[in-house]
Amino acid sequence: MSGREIRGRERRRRNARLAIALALLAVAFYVAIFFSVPGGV
Amino acid sequence: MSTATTHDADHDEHHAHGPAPGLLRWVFTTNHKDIGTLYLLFALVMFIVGGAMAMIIRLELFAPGLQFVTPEFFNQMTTNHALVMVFGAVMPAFVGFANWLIPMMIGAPDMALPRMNNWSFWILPFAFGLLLSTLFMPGGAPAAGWTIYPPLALQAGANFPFMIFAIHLLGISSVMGAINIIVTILNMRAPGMVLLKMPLFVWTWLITAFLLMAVMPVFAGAVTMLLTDKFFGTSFFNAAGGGDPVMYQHIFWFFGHPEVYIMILPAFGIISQIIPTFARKPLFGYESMVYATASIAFLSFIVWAHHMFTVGMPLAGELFFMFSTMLIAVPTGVKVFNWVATMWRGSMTFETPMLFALAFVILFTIGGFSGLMLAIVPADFQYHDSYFVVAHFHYVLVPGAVFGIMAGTYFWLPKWTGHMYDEKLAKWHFWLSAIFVNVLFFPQHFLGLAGMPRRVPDYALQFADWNMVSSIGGFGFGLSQLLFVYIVFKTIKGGAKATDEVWEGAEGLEWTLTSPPPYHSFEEAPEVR
Repeated sequence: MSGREIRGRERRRRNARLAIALALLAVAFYVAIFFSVPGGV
Repeated sequence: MSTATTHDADHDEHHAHGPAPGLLRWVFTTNHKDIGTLYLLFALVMFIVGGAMAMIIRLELFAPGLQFVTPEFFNQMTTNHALVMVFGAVMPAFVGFANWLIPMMIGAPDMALPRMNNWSFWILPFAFGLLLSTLFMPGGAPAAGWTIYPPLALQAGANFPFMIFAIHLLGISSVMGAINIIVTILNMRAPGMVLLKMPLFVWTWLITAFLLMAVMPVFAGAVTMLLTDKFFGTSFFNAAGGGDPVMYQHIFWFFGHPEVYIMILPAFGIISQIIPTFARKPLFGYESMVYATASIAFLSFIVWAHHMFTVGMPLAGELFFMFSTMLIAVPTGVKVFNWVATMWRGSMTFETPMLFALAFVILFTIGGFSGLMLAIVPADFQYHDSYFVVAHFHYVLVPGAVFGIMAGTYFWLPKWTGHMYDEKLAKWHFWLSAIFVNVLFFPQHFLGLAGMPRRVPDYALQFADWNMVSSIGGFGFGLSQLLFVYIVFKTIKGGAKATDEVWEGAEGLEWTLTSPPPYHSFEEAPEVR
């Protein structure tokens, strides 16, 4: 995050956490669309 | 002694990560500049492939009657021209720009997730390998239109699962790219680079990445349902089994309309970098540009059914989607006003990037206005599925998105390669493109208003003249792009040495680096004031 410099392992961990959260969100959207179809799932 | 050891380790860490020798550099690279170059070259190849398909379409439509291709093959060309241009050319080109520029603009050493970045790119050639291989199959390539509406799309042959899996791969690639961009922008900015100091190109890409995250999974879900309807006996969209084909259209356009903005918002960002540079003035209304971009992104989720007014909707639904669509003109108008106000009383010069940017502002606005016409429900009942729609979205996508890509290429090519491009040839490329793109697409408004339907290989005699004009424009535009390819490769190979700042009025961190920039941009975070 801006304002202070973050390097090395701490930065990689922060990046991975955010990336995993976003990936789970994308998977949730994918699954949700099956439930949006009447008579579908 | 230990100091020396530490020094050696540091030395290795800082200097042993240059590009790997040979072709493997490009296969295993995790460097944002290399991956940006790969994306841009891939997009260029796809422009040529998709462009060749467009030439076949315009050749067949040069005169009434069936001359060169069968109607089946014509349908394959319209379908694949769209799929290749949308997913293979425009989107990867903008991801290429994002890869090259975002780390340099925010003062980061690289993208946040470099290995995933490599994956995001290398999925693409396999996806298009799957899709384009269908051209050589019995029955040919997909031919039901890029919208893949059931039940027509479900009548396809062997190509169907190939297309569906290609779309899944493209979706995975796009979502991974979007995640990488969001994480890079949110976590990797240099100290002092607060959100409202970011260059507008970075802002437009941050918002675009969220759009991608939200809608690519929806499209993937829709095509998965098509796949199970065809092969596993489900009835998501099969009326005979209790499903609803119109539901597919709703889901598709819930993806499809934000997709339109995915293809134009990064172009807005590029234009917002170029105009202040050549007007030698700061961008007028920076914050309003950011909020306008966010507003357009939000509105893009609540306008989708304007693509299907004629399908039979309740009046309240038609009114809602008509007014919400018209509302988009407000933030878009803010942007156009700000670009013009930036130029007002500026010390303008007209190098090629600025020429493309100016053409963008004027011609994209024409596409925007015809979009407003299409938003009016009773009028749309006349325009729907006519060539007027083809004219509209090509004005938005060609002198819109594609001119944005051209403008950005000329703008940053000297930074990327360290060489100035040939300005005289580039101006030839601009003027030929700007003239022929209008000869190509403007007559299509007349054809549509006169009643010519889209996606037809043959037409009634009264449409012959304007179709011939449009085809001449198409061939001229297509040939002009060969000049672009020549200029780009000539610049990569050599040319006058570019300075670090390149353009007199250029502002931003990327211009503080050498031309070409070092393999690793910022070993130490730059200070942003």
